[in-house]
Amino acid sequence: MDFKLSTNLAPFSRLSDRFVPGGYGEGHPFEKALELVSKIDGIDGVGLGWPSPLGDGAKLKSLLDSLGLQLGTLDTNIYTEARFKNGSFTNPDPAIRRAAIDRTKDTIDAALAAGAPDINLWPGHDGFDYSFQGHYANAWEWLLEGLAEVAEHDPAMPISIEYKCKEPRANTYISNMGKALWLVERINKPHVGITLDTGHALAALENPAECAALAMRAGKLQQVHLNDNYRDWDHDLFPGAVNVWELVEFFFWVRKLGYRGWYSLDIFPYREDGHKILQTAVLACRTCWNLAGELLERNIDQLLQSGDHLEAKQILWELIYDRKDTKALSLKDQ
Amino acid sequence: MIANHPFGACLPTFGSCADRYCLSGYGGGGSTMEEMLDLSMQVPGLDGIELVGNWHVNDDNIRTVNKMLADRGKKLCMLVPDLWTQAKWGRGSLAAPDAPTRRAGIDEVKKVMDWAAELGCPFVDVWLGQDGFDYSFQADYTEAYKWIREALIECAGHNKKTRILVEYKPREPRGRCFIDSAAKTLLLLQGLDDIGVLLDVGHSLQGGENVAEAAALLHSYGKLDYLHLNDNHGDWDDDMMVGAVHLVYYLELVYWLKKVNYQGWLTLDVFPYREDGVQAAIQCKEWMEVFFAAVDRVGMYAIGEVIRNADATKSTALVRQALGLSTIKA
Repeated sequence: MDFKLSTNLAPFSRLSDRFVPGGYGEGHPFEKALELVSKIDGIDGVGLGWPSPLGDGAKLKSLLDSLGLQLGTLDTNIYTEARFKNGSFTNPDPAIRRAAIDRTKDTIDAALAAGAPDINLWPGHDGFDYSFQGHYANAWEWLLEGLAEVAEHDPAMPISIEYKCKEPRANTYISNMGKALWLVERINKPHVGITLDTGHALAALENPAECAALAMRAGKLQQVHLNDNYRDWDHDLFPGAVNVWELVEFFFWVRKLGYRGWYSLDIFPYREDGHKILQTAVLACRTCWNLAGELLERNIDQLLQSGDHLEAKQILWELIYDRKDTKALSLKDQ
Repeated sequence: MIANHPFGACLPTFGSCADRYCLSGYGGGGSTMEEMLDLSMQVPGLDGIELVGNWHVNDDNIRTVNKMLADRGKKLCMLVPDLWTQAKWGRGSLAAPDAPTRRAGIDEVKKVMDWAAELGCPFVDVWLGQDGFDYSFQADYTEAYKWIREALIECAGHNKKTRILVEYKPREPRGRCFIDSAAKTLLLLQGLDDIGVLLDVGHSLQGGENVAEAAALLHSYGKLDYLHLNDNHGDWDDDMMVGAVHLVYYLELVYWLKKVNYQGWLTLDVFPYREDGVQAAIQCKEWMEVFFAAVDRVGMYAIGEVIRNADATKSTALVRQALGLSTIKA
């Protein structure tokens, strides 16, 4: 089975937070960052934002082709400009809602020209900080209306909606898999699905494996983002840094249910070397992916059905204990 | 003033706040220090301003700070050494893995202590935001605590005219910070009478503390020196307006501040990304006034009696009575 791993450009970008607005490192210009990504063993694609510095989907495609990189997704940027601070698709100002819809349609057009498999849509500012601040009924109506409109724009381009429980708002409307599934089921278009970001699921106190199974049961798992955290915040650590078993279980379920899309690294290495952390992330992901493959071969599924999870755990520990050379194993697909 | 306490605000209250997504800031507020100070004039009863090294004060402008404040009738209530606004502190300051960075951190604190003494500012806030870890097997915990304690001891002896306060916070910008709770801060400062504690209400709530208990605990060890006021949803340092979420916690905190006769600063540390900073500060002050009035409505003795009897049904009734919502007497 194919393990298609991509990354965004964050590992080679200047990363800031609210305390260090000048950034933790220098970062690289767009084209240099792409070139650096193309040199990472085990990474085949890149997820990019739109608008792009290249300004043209076709140009983007030829640049990526020349670097031997595939475009994993094109992300509609409705969250880095102050005008979206009170929301994009749910902004009380109709002009801003319109701007979010227009930006998304532009992204769809660019994605078609660039040959992206889908666009990613994360309404990060759509939520509320305070009680009596959000008009929940209007907000969900506007979300449904706006998303229905962009879904009509060109059904040839899949739209993947990403949920997250908080940040940059203290509370986000599309905050968990249940709400995301409700939303896309209401939109009810075959090309509108869900981005499951494993870190967002963990921060929302969900189990990514269960979320994946739910979404795949509905045929709605469009895209996967991989990262990790302490279940309290979207720290964007590399996958498997904290929740190792959860990552193995996640791969077990998406492999079992036949997910065919991209796995996209979405990490924010403020303090780490971009090249080295991506190598580490590739190693962690491939090792957990391969472990999941071995569990599938050992027919763990039957043990789960019979409720004998302890037997499954014993097999898992045996697999770990018997492992002589994880690096060698991780480099060959199961 | 707020109920006879000096009332302060961190200067970014009046600026444009940025985060990791919206790097250029959410807009509003002033851009220069003087514009922000001008805005602070619109908050009635605001006595003092808290400034951050590198962001607001530096080697070039430090001599002009007092005049900028005096022209606007404000005191400098706190000077915060820059141990966290630049990439050079990304792996830590007083507990950085490399000795030169630790030394630079100590020098920075000492320099700011001298500035504070010269400017008549009583406190220096050592917030070790970058001292912690994101990953397992990343930090040497025993060395880190030793380094922090030794650095603080060295700094505390440097200039007796100003008092170092340690501000604890559970996490952010690190995934986990070393000095993360009231109790751990007390442990760190055991036997160090020259060093106090800054209690940030939001940090305490983020760490799952009852902030009233944290205040009482710090007071018991003579280390309740200064307060930062803000609110959040209990899991992150959202830096929201006072009373936005934790009304009852704030009411209990104010009771304990009165009970232990806290006389110090009540300083706002809010990040009004999407709000007008002046209006946000006014709303925070209004809530604090209401909490003090609410405690007085029931009375210290009556509240003390309820606590002595440890009867939660009476406690919840007194909250209603304090907020002027009671139908029956507590």
